[in-house]
Amino acid sequence: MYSEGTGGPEELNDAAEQRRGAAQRFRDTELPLVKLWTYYYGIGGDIDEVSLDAYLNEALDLPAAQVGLITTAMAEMTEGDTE
Amino acid sequence: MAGSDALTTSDEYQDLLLGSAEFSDFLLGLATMSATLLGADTRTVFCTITVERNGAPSTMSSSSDLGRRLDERQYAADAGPCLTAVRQQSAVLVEDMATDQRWGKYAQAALSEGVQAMLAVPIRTDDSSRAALNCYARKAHAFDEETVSLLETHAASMSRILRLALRLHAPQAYPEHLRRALKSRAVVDAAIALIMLQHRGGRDGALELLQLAAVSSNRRIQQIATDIVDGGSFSAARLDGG
Repeated sequence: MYSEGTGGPEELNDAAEQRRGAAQRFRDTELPLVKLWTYYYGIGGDIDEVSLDAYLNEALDLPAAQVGLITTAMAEMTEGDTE
Repeated sequence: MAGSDALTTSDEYQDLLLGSAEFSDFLLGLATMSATLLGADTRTVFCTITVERNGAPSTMSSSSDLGRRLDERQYAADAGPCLTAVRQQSAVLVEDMATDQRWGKYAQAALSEGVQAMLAVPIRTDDSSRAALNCYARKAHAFDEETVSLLETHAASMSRILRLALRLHAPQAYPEHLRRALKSRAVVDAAIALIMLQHRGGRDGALELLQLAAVSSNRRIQQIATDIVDGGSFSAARLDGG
């Protein structure tokens, strides 16, 4: 889960690591970007699809709250049906 | 042709609307009611209802298979009494199909199916749709002045319930997964608003609390948000040491 490592002292490193992890997980899940974005939007996400794409390609940093939502979206979408 | 004793009551319309799972079921009910109203043997007179909606396929409902075939012929030809009534929103009476020159090939088709007379009256709806009630008879001159007037009153009486039905069965603007996301977002936003209010905090903080609550209870964000909105308070106060 994404909660590991949050709030630690090395926040910058954490953020980079988290971003790498998210990018890796996104590639692993093979979710279409548009589906992930729609789900992420559904749980309160505020970043546009292009920025989400950039984040998942490790080309953009996002506020922690959005990062949390992206990670949560991937976790919820892969833990079974997305009811 | 004998007119029936009484027009359909609004209660009957409402029952029909509430009892119809699909829009087409509802229209079929209206068509059947209309045929009954004419008080005639359904083998000699039958009714169909046509609804055209902007940006959605048109719907036809018929009290008989023959009616459906005849409606479909009009759509295939893109012309005919029903379509004229629908599109021009004015009544069309064909007293004798054999002598009426207006309908070209459609008249032939109707005659070959044994239909000699037709009456189509518009049902007023709203700007986004148009509707008409169509009656077919196996006898020429079946629709006298009195029947025309009765059906026009009947069509007017259906207007209100049809408008309601059109709203209730609106064509879906969004596919299922998008509607789910919209619904979820609405709940999450409401929950965030509540959390912000209770904690006098910012949106990011509220999002964080939602996520913490989801993780600690191993549930989805949407479920947590639904609980918060339903319960009216954020019961996970312990999360921020409160």
